[in-house]
Parts: sequence; structure tokens; C-alpha cells
Amino acid sequence: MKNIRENKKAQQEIVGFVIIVIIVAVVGVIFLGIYLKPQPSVATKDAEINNLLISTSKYTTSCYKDSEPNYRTIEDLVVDCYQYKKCGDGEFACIVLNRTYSEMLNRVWIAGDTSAIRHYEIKAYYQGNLTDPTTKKPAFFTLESGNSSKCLTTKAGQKITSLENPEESVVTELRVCFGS
Amino acid sequence: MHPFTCKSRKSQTKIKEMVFMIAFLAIFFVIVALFFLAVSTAGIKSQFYDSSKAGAILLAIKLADSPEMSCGEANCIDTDKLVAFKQHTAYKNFWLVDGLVVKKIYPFQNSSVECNTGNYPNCNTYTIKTPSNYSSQDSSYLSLCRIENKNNYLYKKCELGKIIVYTSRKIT
Repeated sequence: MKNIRENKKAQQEIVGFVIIVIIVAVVGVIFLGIYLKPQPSVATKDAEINNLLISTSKYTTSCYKDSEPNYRTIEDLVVDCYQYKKCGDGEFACIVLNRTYSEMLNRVWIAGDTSAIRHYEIKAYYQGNLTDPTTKKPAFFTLESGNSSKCLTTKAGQKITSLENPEESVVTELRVCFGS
Repeated sequence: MHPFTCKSRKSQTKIKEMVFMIAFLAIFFVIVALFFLAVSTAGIKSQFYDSSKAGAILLAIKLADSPEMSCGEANCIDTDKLVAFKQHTAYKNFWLVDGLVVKKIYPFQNSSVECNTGNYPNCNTYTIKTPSNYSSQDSSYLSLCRIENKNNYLYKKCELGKIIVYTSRKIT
């Protein structure tokens, strides 16, 4: 009788121990799951990229409005490109914008599989209302270099240019992806 | 066997069980704590590096926005001012950094040409303070603007440049 009672007590102890182990394991797995949840790979805003975008937007291009030296900056050209305008010499603003940005960014970075910078992309799009993402239209200007499939981290900068109606804007976005 | 001896042995076994259990739990919690410590401290070094870099970029922007250099807009240096005051030796110790250089990036020139009143603006490097005893260098992009004359009209011409700040801040 005494033996059976002791056996039962031991079984109860084992069951209790197993329950505690299961509870600890479940709590641990839940905690780990929350802690190690992969973050969505969104581009983080970066001061250096933003500074580059602001600085490039002030660059004086070879495109002039009516007569020389009424030269357009890159920021002006982005708006001119959106409005399909031409420079004083008849060349399309979008062509000058593409050429200038392409040459300029090639001097800043060389994107490639062996470089720290794997890919960069600059695009400009119209947005009717900055607080309403549904008013965003597809990009009218895009320029990219490198291979975007091997990105580890992405950093981005943004430059907003107001149009005549201050609610409407043209947004220039630069995204740079790093492989290390 | 004496009943007292039997009870004592049983108690000893129970004490041993408890000691093993406590030891096992202690080791388990130490391993768990070490694991979490390793996971949570993994990003500290890169976070420190990022925040140091952000601080250095802010310093570079602050220097560029000082009245001695600024063209009146954010992220913009007036190179006319720069070439004039870089000649003054009194400014050498004005900047509390170990070196300060401004370089033109675009349009690109093959060789580095130090700017002075004789060759300006056909140059690309402005050494405000010659780098010495530095361990770290950080930079920020900015516009290099000057007033140009064409067809008897004055206009503002801006190019792309970089301000490089040399400091003795060390990141290991």
C-alpha cells in the first residue's frame, strides 16, 4: 500500500515537472518569436543621402530657360521634366536631367556586385497631396544603376518641390542599397 | 536495518535531487540569459558607429552653415568667401577639428588642384585646415556656389561638393 502511494507521488512530481517545463518552453518560444520577428525591409531615412539629394538639386545645369545665363537647376529641371518642357536650345528637360544626374551620380558612387553600394535608384513622381498617398502618380523620371537583388540594407532620401499650387508637389526620391 | 538510518538515506537522496534540480535550473537560466545578451548586444557596435557618423555629418553641416562659409541656404557653401578667408592664417585655429577640407566632386577634374586667389575657380580643393593627428574622417555632400558673369549678367552657379571633417574620435 505504502509502495503504491509513493509511486503515485513520484508520478505526480514528474507530471508537475513536465508541465512546468512545457510552460517555460511555450513562454520562451513566444518571447523569442516576438523578439526575433524579422523587420520589414523598408528603406531608412539617411542624413547623408538626404544631403546628397538636396545638394544635387541645387546644381546649375547647362539648360537655360529663355536666354543664357538663365540656367536651370536640377530642381527646376525636375519640374520642367514633369511638365514636358524644353530648354532654350530645344533639348527636352528630361534628357538633360537624365544626362546630368547620370554623370553626377557616377562620380559619387559606382554601383556593382563588388562594390559596397549594390544599387541606387532615383525617381521623381507627382503627388497631389503629400498627406494622401493615393494621390501619388507613377514616376515620370527614373534612373538606376547596379543590381537590386543583392541588397542588405537600403537607405533613402527625399526632396519635395512644391508646384504653383502649394498642395501639389513633385517628389524626388533617392534610394541606395548596400551589400554590407 | 534501523528505520532511522533508512529515513536518513531517503532524505539525503531527496536533498541530492533538489540540489541537482536547482543546479540544472541555474545553468539553464544562465544559458538563456547569455543567449539574450548575445542577441541584444549584436547591433550595439553598428548602432554606435551609425550614431557617431550621424554626429560627424551634423558637425560637417554645422561648419558648412557657419556665416564664414554659407551661401545663405542650407547645405551650401559660398566658394567666393571660402577662397578669400582660407588665405587668412587667423582662421586656422578657428575650427575645433583636426582638419577641414572642401572638395568639388562634380564637374570632375582628373587631378586635385588646391584653390587660391590666383587659380580660382579653376580648382577643386579648398584646404581650410590641413589634416593632422586625426584618426577619423567624415564627410557630407553640399553645394558649392559662386557668382559668375555671362553676357554681362551675373548668375549663381552651383556645383556638387563634399566637406570632409577630420577628427581624433576613434571607433574600434
